Amino acid sequence: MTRYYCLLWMVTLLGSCATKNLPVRSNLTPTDTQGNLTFKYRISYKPDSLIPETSTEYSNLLVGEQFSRFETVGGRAQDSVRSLFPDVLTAENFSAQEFADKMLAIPRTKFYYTIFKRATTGRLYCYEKIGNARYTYIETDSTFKWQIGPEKMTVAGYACQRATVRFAGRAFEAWFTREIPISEGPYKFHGLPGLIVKINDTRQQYVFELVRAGKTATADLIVLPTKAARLVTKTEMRRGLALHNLQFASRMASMAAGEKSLSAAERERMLKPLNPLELQ
Amino acid sequence: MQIRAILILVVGWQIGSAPQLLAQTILTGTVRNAAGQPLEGILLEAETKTQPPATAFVVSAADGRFQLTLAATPASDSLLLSARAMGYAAQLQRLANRSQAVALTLREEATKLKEVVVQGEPITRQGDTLSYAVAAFSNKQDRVISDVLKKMPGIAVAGDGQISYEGRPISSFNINGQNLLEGRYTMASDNLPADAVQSVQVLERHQPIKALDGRIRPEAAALNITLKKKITATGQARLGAGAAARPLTGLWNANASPMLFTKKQQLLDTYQTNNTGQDVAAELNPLTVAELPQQGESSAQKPDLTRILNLGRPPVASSRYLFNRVHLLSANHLVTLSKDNQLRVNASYRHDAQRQLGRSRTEYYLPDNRTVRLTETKDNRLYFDALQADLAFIKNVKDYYLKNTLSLDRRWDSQRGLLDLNEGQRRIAQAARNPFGAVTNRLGLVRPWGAGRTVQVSSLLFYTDSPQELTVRPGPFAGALADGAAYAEARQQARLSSFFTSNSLGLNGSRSHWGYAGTVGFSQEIQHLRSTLVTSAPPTAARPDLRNNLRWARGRAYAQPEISYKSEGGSASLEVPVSYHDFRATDRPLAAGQRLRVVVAEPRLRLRRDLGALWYAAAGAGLSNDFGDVNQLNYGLLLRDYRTLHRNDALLPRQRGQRYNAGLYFKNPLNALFFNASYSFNNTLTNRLYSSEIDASGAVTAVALDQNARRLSHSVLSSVSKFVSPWKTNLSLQLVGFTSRQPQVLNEQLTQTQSRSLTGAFKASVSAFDWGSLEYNATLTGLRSRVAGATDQPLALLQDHHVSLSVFPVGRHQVSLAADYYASRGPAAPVQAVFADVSYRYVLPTAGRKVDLEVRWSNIFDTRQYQYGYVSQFLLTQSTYELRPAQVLASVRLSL
Repeated sequence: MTRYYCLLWMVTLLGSCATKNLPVRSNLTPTDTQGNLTFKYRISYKPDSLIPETSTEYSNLLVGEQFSRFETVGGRAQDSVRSLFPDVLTAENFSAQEFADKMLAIPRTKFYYTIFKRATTGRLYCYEKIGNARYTYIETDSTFKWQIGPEKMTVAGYACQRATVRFAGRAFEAWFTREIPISEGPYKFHGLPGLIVKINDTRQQYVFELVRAGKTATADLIVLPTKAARLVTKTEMRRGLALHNLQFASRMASMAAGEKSLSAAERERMLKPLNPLELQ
Repeated sequence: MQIRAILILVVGWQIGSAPQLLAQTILTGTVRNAAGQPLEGILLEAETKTQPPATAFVVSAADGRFQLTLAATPASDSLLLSARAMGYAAQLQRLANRSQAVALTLREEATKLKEVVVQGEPITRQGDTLSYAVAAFSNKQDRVISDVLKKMPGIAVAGDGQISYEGRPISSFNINGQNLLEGRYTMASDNLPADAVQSVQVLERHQPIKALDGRIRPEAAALNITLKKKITATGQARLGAGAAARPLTGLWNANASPMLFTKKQQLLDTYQTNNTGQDVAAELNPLTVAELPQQGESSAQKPDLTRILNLGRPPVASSRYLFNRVHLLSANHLVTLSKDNQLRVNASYRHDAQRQLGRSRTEYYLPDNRTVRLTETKDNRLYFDALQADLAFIKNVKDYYLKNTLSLDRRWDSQRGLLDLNEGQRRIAQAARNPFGAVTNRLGLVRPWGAGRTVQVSSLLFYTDSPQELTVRPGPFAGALADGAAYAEARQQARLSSFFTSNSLGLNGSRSHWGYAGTVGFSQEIQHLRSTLVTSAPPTAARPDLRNNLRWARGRAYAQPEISYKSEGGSASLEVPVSYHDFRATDRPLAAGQRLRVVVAEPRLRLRRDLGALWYAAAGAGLSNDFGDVNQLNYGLLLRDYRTLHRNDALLPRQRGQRYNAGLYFKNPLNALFFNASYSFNNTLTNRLYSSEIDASGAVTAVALDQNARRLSHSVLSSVSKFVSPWKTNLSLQLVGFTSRQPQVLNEQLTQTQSRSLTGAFKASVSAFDWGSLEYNATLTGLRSRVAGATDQPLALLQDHHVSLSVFPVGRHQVSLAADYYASRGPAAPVQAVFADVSYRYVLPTAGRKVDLEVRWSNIFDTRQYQYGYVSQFLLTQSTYELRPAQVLASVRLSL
């Protein structure tokens, strides 16, 4: 296990050692960086590719000097509530009702990943939880082979240009703007000469659209969680997630035999995995 | 602080080398600032001048280095190099197309982030919430939110402003999640600028009571208007003046409606006045039912004891025939007192003076082949003065719901009418006063009781009083009232006072898929009807039958068990209310009265089944038992209007009904397609059968026979609507079919009558282009009535078409043309009417606030009369209504 930690640490160092030569822009440790800009994206996706019903979630892209962080609003909220869990339970004025209300009030999510990108190195760190354990994998060859086309269009009030790419078994169409000169985008997408304002796969099963752009009001550190996350390969991660989903489904099935039963339709929905963004 | 960054070429081994044909161009360098420090993350792009261009893009590395490699083809002699980054001014340099060194100076400059224009899908779904993006449905001429609501698929706005979703009226209209206006939401929907609204949310099967959330899911949807800003001060103001021709009259139309929406309070005040025919009083009509349904067989409404003879309303828009002079003042304020407590005040005062002009000609075909003709020319003046105030305290949290509403309703209405009777050349003057006062208190309380159970308490209490008076000159019904001698005046005084209370206690709970509920309650109604009919004729004998002194008491005690089953795929519920009724009516001076004690059960069954993700089916069946009220009982004579003298001493009317309905519903928000179809069947048994007799003078005597009469009716309703997103076009089609059969006594002969109707309504709104938009709607109705054994009546066909076209020729100008066409043909003489309006609007070039100037010319063709015919087996009525003449109104309107 320590081997993984070392590896991760090294990778992180590798990515950031060059900053030693940089002018001192902030006195943060190499892995921490101040998030300056925040971009909110709406994710419209089809949970089941066979049913034409679209679900919506919101996500945030926080861009700092060296790193960017991307996660869904629900994913972050659930994570922070869960991290409070022990404190809340031992608090003197603990109210179960209040806690339940808090849990219910946070937005639900289907996406638990956090993606850190370093545009200059083309390196990408993806953190995800399987059960309660955190794992991470690094994509080094994640530079997208973009085809920038001549088509131009105003999207969300910004002058955009079209670019296409094949990624993870899907063909994507992106609209990026030079008006925001950052080589960034939602999810893992980046590498265009401007911010991606809208990106969707050609079957319209995943659509990311910019809904808000702004400077961060308060200091929000982008901290690469080097501890407490196990470094694995992407293949291992995918296999692990699939296995976990299967276990979860069988637990649900056994719950169905118990008192609080789930309906057949509910169980079927749980058993059925989400139509994933990455098909391969 | 200005930091200068200088681009220095560090490596340049190709400088000075001979031009290389068909070789890559390589630009290399390091980005540094003045202090010689490298800059990371600068976007560097190079592009040749050709079409298509060769391009290259890199991000400067941590040490500031970059290398741009441009393909050799297509050949070009120059290229454009750009360096861009947040916080720096963009640098553009035109260079010769060869590998070379470049010096760029980047200047530090704040990069502005523009506001993101959220376009998005026109309709998105999140759980049970459908969200309509207002921007996707609105166009340039839309001013208030109801203009946009009309165009949203699945949502319909009726002529009176009532909003429906999937054919069902919405249960509440909220703004930023708060219910400021309850049922009187047209005040907001007709005055809230569409620009202030971000999105319209439909909350399907929404439970407004938080303590019942997740326990009881109503069928109806609620609407929530999400405003763009957290604190919104908005509204509109309009001021207009104009004139109508022949006779020359001055016209005015003014409206000032300021609104404020914050987290702590919401406020909507409005003052509206006009004499242009706009019926602003309609904004005071409640269009939703109470959140917590209250068992009330009676409501605090103004009774219609006696009146002048009305003209009725022609089936055209009220702005065409309403001669009014109205002032309406309304104040609505919602304050959040503490975290969970709210106080709401809604108060309004209305003054209106209306005039109705028209003629009606009625021909009765008597059994002896004679025809009695009655031609009345009416000139009515109606005066309304009404003060209404509601004060409500609301606490609506997860474990507590309390709402108490105290309402006051005071009216000072009066009516005057002049009627010229062609037959006999008589002129009849009528004057009526019908004031009304009511105090109502409503209380609703919901509390959870143990796990999964809630207790509901509701109480309704009101007192109303309405002393009315009608004077008719010269005295009518000389035969019945003055032994046949003509007399000067008859005066009918009638006063009804009512006290009503209804109280109930309910419990409901659920266990896994099952839900159960039970309500017990009682209600008591005590009413007193006093009336005196006085004539100026010298008294000949004592006439005790000219007075009513009716004491009426109605008691009800009931228990209402309900059970429901809900699963993922559907739901079912059965309720079986059992009531004990005790009716007592006594008129001691007339020594008359009756009493009825009866136990009735009224079971109702409802089923719903989901058929996949997009379809569902619903069905229901029920029995009902309805009883008549005090208005259908008077042992003494009562002069209802100048030609209706009424006595009703039959048994209390009772209706037993069976109702069955089924429907199929479809919606696909993704492609904005909505469809529904439903069928219902009603079978009603009444213990009264009315028989009509006409005498030679045209006076109609209706006699109630103690005989059972059964009425059967079927109705079919289907509608489909579709929004075509790229063309901003909404299309909808509705079909309604209806048929009913009931017995009727005509000329002392019992026959079956049958009536059938089929209505098709089509609506289209197209706003595909920037320069204009088109709206069209049409209704086509076919009617046929049949009497068994008689020849068929010809089919009556009614049609109306409305088309409006708006064009924006240049910039801020807008011209709108609208035309209405009404036509009917069938048994009566064919009638056609065409109306046309034109308006021109200019939007002033003001920043921020929208200011419009508008000139409107209504009824261009000066159509002055509208005729409407009605035919049945034994009568033909033709009514002619006087309409508003051509008028021109200039107004200025601004969004506040």
